[in-house]
Amino acid sequence: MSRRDADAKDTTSPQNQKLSDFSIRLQTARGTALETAKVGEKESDRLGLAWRVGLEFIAAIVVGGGLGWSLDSILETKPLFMVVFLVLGGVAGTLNVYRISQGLDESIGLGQAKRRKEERPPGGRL
Amino acid sequence: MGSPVHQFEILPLIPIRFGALDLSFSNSALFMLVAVLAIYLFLARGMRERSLVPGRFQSLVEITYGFVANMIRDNVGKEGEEYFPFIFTLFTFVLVGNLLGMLPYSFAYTSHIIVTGALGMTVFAGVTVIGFMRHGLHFLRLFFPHGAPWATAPILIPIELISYLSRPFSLSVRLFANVTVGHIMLKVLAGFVVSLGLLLGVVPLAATVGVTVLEFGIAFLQAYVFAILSCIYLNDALHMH
Repeated sequence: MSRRDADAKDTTSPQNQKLSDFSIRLQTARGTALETAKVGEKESDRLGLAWRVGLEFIAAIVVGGGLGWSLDSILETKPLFMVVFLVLGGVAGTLNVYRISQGLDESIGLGQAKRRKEERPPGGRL
Repeated sequence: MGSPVHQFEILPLIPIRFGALDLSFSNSALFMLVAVLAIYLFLARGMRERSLVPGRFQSLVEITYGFVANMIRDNVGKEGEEYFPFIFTLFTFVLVGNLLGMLPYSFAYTSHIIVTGALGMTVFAGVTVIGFMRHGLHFLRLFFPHGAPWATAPILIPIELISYLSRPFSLSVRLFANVTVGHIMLKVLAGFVVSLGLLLGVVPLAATVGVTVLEFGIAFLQAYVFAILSCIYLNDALHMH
């Protein structure tokens, strides 16, 4: 029997009454504080996610277009590579969005990201 | 009243020129220096006593250290520990830059894409070099999913490559956009307080206070995101399956 158990049984003394009262109040205050924090976090999380999806999509197209454009200026094959790489960039952008929607992280390569998702404990994010 | 983007103007404080090269010491550079000094003083002050039961400053330093160390341990594992100094520097530099930018009359250097882009490219280049050093050409295997038919390689590899190359871009734009948008929003809202006067101005003032709190949150969150993504890339470079 630990000391704490003995104390818990002895709730009749006014001091313990006060203490247990305080701990209840503390718990409810903590609970509401946690809950409001969670709601606020969710709101900004969703906005952040919307931003990210758009950005990841556009980033891939810009990088693809830029890559094709520079290949063209080196090889003087305008506009062959730019057209091809713009399309590939669009596909890569879609892939980026797919990865976000599936809750995959930003590992290099789709296979790697999928494996990491399986290894991750459920409930963990990023 | 100044324009809302006036706050992002780069002002050369000490002009330095080498021919066509402009290497002036600007307000951006000044605040980077201030950030580095602030980080140094914070760490030095916190670790001065080295007591077993930490005081306020030492607690803060220990929490910061533990936060980054845990992030690396969770995302990279034991081998990631040798990269702790780099991730810690990156995290504190971005975080203190964001927080310094929240001070009135200061300058947020993370609101410039050239700064965040340079940070992102450094991480990206470093991780790529580490990957090739550790695994050689085998590192390229990451761009081809396990078990996919070889005939799809000419399409899949460029797509994965572009997806990979877009990372530093989206990483730096995310930090830059968050900080810039926040600062513009604050300035516009604060401008309403002045133009609406004493009575009605209370409403935008309350909004400004709210957005300021939100911006502090974003300052932490973006620094965290920057650091944790660096950890994830580093993990890929170190551990290949």
